[in-house]
Amino acid sequence: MLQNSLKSGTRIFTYRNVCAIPKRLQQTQVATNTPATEPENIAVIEERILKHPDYFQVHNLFTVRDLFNARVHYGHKEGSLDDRMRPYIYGSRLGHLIFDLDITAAHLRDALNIAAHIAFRDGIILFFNRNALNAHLVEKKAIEAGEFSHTRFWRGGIFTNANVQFGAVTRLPDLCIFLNTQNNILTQHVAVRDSAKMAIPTIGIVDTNCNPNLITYPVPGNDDSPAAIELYCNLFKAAILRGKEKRKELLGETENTNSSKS
Amino acid sequence: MAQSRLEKIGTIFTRVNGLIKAGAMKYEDRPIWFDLYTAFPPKLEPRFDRPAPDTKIKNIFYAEDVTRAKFHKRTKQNETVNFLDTRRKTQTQNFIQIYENLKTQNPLDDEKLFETAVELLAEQSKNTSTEKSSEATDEIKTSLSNDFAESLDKEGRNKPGVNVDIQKLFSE
Amino acid sequence: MAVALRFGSNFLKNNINYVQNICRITDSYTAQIQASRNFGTEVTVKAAPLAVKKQKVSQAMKAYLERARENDEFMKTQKLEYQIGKRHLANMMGEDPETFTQEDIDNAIEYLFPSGLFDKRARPLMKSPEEVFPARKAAEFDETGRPFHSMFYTGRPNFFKLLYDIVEEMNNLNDLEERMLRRGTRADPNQKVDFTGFQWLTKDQLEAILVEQINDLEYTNFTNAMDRLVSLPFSYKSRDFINKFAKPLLDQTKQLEIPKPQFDAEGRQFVTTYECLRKTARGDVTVRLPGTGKITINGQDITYFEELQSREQVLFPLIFAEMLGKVDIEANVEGGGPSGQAGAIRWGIAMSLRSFVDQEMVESMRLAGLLQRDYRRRERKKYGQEGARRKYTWKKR
Repeated sequence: MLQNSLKSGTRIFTYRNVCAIPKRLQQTQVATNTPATEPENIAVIEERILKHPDYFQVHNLFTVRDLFNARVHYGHKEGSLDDRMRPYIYGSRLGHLIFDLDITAAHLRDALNIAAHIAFRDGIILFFNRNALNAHLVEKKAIEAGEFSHTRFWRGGIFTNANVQFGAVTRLPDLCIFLNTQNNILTQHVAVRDSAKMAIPTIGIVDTNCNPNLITYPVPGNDDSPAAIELYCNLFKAAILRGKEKRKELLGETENTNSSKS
Repeated sequence: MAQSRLEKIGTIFTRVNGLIKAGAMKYEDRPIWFDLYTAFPPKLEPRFDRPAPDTKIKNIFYAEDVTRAKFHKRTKQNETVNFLDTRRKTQTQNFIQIYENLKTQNPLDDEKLFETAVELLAEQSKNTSTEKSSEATDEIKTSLSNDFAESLDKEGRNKPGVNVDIQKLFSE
Repeated sequence: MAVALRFGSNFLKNNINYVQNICRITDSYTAQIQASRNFGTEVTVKAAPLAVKKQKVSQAMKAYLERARENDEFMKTQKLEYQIGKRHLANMMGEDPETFTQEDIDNAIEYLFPSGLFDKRARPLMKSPEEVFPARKAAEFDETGRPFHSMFYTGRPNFFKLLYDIVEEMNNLNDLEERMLRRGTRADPNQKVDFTGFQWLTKDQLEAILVEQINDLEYTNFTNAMDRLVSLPFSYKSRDFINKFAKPLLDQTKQLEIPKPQFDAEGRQFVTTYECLRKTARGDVTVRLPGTGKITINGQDITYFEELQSREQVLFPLIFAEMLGKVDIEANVEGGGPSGQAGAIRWGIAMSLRSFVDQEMVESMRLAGLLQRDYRRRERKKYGQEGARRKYTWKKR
């Protein structure tokens, strides 16, 4: 790098010689020629990003074969089918319903994209799973992603009466991800309805016996086997972390441009 | 901040949009997801009263299901199947393969084809079993008696530390 | 350039702006360095739309900060009052204010304000404000409104995090067990944690630790989970974690400690057991080893007891532990009647013999009921009845 600047003939700044910054710090991110430096950097960047159909490369995170191996296509039996789930079903094999993984993949890409964007905008993401088998895993992955989880009994007023419940003015989540839209007694989780009430977008893994109507970005698929839940958790965690990293990167750069201007 | 808690009317987007248009919510105060929803709307509107489509669920059947059914009626399954082991072929899969091979080679009528296929399968299984017994397998052989003996061992762990016989205490 | 050469790294760190003004060269090289320098800086909210959101949410933060400040001031005034009050009290009692401890305060208050109330917690007290006022939770969210704890939205993050930790430990122990089984090693039974003498923290204590309210149902869940964790074969690896929530039963700790024998003037070992109670009898027993089987009760021989049964009671522990002619017994009893005094001495002898006998014998003594304090007292007579239980003869007409 030093050679380059020497060759280019610009004023050699002996910064490095003077304060001996170790070499590894010098070779950090490639500083792109920073574009328009206005104070409203974040808003402009956010708008620009929205034009890209898949800014966070979310489609790279999984393949249909991954979904198959994780048994995402297994549904419940025909008798428990919710009529609103019919468009997502491929067929029924001896009474067992099978999801159409192409449709699932498309929905999942949408959902991951939204999750990544919301993480990019520093939104609060809340994971739900009331299935005792998988609840611990979901909590763990939420902690690793740096987001929030709620795998316990849902008290009525958490969203609708938040200020009283928590004692202080609380900021509500900006996205709710349901790894299982049902609760212990196999009825729809109250938080689905509450999120719709409080205008919070939801992503939900809907099984054949679930109601996908109130969920903003449903993802039809198996919500019972631990393998499937682990796959979903890993995918959402990866998408969220990508969004956050991008934000950190961009914020670091925009601060850099702000400070160099001053 | 203005809100609309009517989840059964429209979608979250239509309601927030309505609030902004009516002036109850300022455009600057719009929620984080508003732009995202405009840029990436969901495939179907998340309305509460979206009607359920009347599509029929088709049954998934394959051509070889017929032979499978006949085979299962005749022979009982006497092996354990590990779904996670994709290299191993099950008895049914082997049978189907043999049947298909025979069919392509010499097209006899169905009954005879079936019988020959069954015989061939029996032969094949005998050959593989003799091979297996001579090979050294690194699988852990679990049998019912082994498991039982192991569990008895485990129980021994829970015996009390001090050996005190209450009968002896009051024998004097 | 010569000027630049003279700068040391410290100087640069302290005068970043100055340096930046010097190097106004906008080639990629310097920009790179500056990017690396700022990599670790904190994210601050700056842009205009975000600024609006920050204002709205930090109202919550403002409210919290206001409350926290009020609380701090309140605690300060309370502490000051407590200190002043302590000094006044010391003066009143004629003690030195500097060395007036909490115990002295308690005694002084008991003297000055005698109270016959049954519940000790209802009596007047003077304690430092930290003990009196309940603990509060610190700020739960940062300036943008984002909570710190991952389970904040459950309403009881500390408790549910605790349950999560228990499950995490269980999973780790299960994995460990699997690895050990594959190697062929079993759990070491000698190291197995013994929880017969322990119980889990009570609901109130748990609430105090977590600073949260807990249901009864949730408390039973917690207890069941901890029991399950302890029942795993490798639970001794998580001993530290488990001990945080295990409380020893008080009686057990007292009984578990077998006192060491002391040495008297003649060089014989002896053990004294005080507070031997049975019914209304009170006494103390000294057992000396080596002895000849001499028994002295209140200065008299065993003929102090005129009844055979009483004498048998006194001799039973010696016979049981096979120490009949090997030890000397000295006992002082007062109060009660023959039966009560005999029972008291018997218990005293048994407790003292623990120090001279091996573990197995102690265990068998415990099983025989020799080491158990007989807590039975005379039941009071009730009105409308002839005795404690006996009713007057029932007449149909």
